[in-house]
Amino acid sequence: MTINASKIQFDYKYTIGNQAVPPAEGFSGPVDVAIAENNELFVACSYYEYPPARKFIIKCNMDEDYLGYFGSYGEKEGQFIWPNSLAYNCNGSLYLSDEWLNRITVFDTNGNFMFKIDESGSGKGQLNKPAGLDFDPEGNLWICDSGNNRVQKFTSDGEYINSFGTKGNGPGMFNTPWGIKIDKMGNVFVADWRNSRVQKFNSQGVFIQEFGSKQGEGELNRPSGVAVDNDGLVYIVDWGNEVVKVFDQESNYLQTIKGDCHGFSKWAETRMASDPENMSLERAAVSDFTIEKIFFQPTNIEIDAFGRILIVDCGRHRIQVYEKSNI
Amino acid sequence: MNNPDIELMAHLFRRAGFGSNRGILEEYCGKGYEETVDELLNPADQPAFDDDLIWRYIPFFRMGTGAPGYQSYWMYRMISTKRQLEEKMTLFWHHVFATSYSKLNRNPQILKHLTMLRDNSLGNFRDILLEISRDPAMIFWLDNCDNHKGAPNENFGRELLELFSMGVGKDEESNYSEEDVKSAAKAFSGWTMAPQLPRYPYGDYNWEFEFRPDDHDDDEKLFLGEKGNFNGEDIIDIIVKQPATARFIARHLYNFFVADEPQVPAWQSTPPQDMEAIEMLEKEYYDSGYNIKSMMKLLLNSNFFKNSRFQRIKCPAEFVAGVMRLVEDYMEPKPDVHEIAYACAYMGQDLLNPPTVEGWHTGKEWIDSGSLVERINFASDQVSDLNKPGVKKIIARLSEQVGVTNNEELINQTLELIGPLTVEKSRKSELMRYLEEFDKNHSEKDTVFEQKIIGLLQLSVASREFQFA
Repeated sequence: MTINASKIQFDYKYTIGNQAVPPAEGFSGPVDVAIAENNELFVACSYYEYPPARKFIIKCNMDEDYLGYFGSYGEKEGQFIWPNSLAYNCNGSLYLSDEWLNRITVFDTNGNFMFKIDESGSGKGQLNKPAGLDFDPEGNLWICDSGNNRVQKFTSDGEYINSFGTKGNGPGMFNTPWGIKIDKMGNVFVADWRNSRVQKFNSQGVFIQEFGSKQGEGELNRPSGVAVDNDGLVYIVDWGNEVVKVFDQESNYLQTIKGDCHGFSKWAETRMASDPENMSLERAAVSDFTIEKIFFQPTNIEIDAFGRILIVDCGRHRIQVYEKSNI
Repeated sequence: MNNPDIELMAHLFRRAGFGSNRGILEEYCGKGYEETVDELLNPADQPAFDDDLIWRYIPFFRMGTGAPGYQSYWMYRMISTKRQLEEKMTLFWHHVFATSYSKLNRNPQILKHLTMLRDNSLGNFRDILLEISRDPAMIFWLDNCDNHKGAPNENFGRELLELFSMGVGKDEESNYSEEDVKSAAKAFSGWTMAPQLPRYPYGDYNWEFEFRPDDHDDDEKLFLGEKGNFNGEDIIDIIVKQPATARFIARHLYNFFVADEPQVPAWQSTPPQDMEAIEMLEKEYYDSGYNIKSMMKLLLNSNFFKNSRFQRIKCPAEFVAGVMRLVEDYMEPKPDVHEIAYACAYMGQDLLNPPTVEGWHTGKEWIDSGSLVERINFASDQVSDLNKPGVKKIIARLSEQVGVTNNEELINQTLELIGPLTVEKSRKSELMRYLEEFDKNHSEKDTVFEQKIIGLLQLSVASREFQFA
């Protein structure tokens, strides 16, 4: 399907989050979001390492109701060091990758530890810096095994199925890949981070096409996350350029989303109300709010069942929500 | 057996960098000394630092609220960068333009400040002074944002002269007057930063430099004997011409890269220990048009530099980064680098948080009973970890080259591999006593060789000589 870029637009709707540490309502360096049932969200935060380490998973919903948090920094079961990606499995479990521990930890939606996949190495089913996670339509788990420059497929129980990819910059090769997304047809999109491109494969791992150019509007610089909407548009978090770039199915560049957060999230409103005088005085001196609106260190992207586009704005401790419309 | 080429190359990397392991030193010996100096002076020819990796795994280092993150980031950079002189120069300028996060409370700004120092580290001194005068971290640190037309704040103007460019005096003479300070302050009125959003709700934002003409004192000023409607840039143009500035920068470079000098406040009344070297650097300052890279090229290729081995006490940052390079840990992103950065602070150098705008007192003042214990414990802990790649390499090399029976050769080669380090005879005797005692208590020498070497390494890095660069 050919998309006319001038016929679509992406409208900023609202923001979820602000900078805060649990139990206060907010995020601290969110790196990924997983969308669960009933509009519930799980947000992996990767902030301080030094004591007190601040790493956790926040549970909230699309209406920005704060529902709690779980997890902590460490190497024990249920803990994590370098959380990278979260994926929700429709059986009611949540999978978290950890690039330092070479571990996938599986929680239930109340944050209880269920099991882990954590054999380190480069052999079949072994992991080295696992990053992006996603489930295919059959419920299998796909892992961007970034340190091994490959993609591995497991059952949701953690049984190895197969893999593809090796280090390099040719088709089907990777350099420290990050995000992964499986579309409804089972195609696999991989954010080939250090090759500054996104590659698309069929469900058998056969290379189909590449997204991103080395220069011009479609240039990608260290892409970290990918999403695909129901019309087949491909959304790529361009981590190095700190924007989201949208492509059609034929890899043609369409538009750039730079971030447009204006006004406050619900939690931010609460925060501002706690010290209205100082907050408003400092803000009153500022005339240009562009820097507050745009993304800073964006890491990932998800699209929910209603077509709402959630962009994880890591450096600003929030998620910006967009919707696509036809004009 | 002593290898003069390796010894000289090791000296170069201790001073122009943070040290290198034996394998790398041997590679550079093949390249040649002057060629290596040229490579160090041209950082763009070497692989760039992998900011992308560290910011992927530890995004906090870029965005973070909480300055220890920046200490950790910088320490990681000192340990792992392949552009050693560039990072060493950044540390040098931090010693000169000591700026602290403790007052800023806007922490990504300190990252921007460091980037500015690094980008200008081997540049023209006029440009460096101009950039530091326009740097929001410095403007806030020294209150130039409170320096207004008709209500001058002299803090920055005074330190610009006293600590950043000329010094109070030289050869028993004063370099400037109180009137010069007042004129400098007036010339920098209106040099401030644009208002910026508060930290909450969405995190820290950087300030940007802003010049406000309506808040700038444009009246005529008398400064160092020249008269005019000077602004800050004119003041810098006058400063860089001064013989006192040439002397000041030459002494700073000598103190940081060649041999410990008295503390800066004493420079007015204490002549340089090597006036000939200082005069060579002063001449190069003028001949090159105030170019720091040219001065460093002269310095690193000079005999006074080559002959200055182990005449400087390592500052804590050099010590910590050097030990980590020796054991080859944190060469790639890894959690808990703050523990390494904190070790530097425990030794008396809280990076990016100097005790005053004067920075740190150097040389012997780095050492007291507390800081010495911290140094010894830190180095000893690091070399005792058999999982560290650098420790494994040393043991493997000793095992191949020396075998397990010749204790004297074992001592010589160990000192060679951690330096080469030249120690007093009495120190060698102590090391020999340790080995003899060890052998007496361990009959199965092959199986305890690693343990024996670990003890030898621990004692060697605890030596007086290891504290020197």
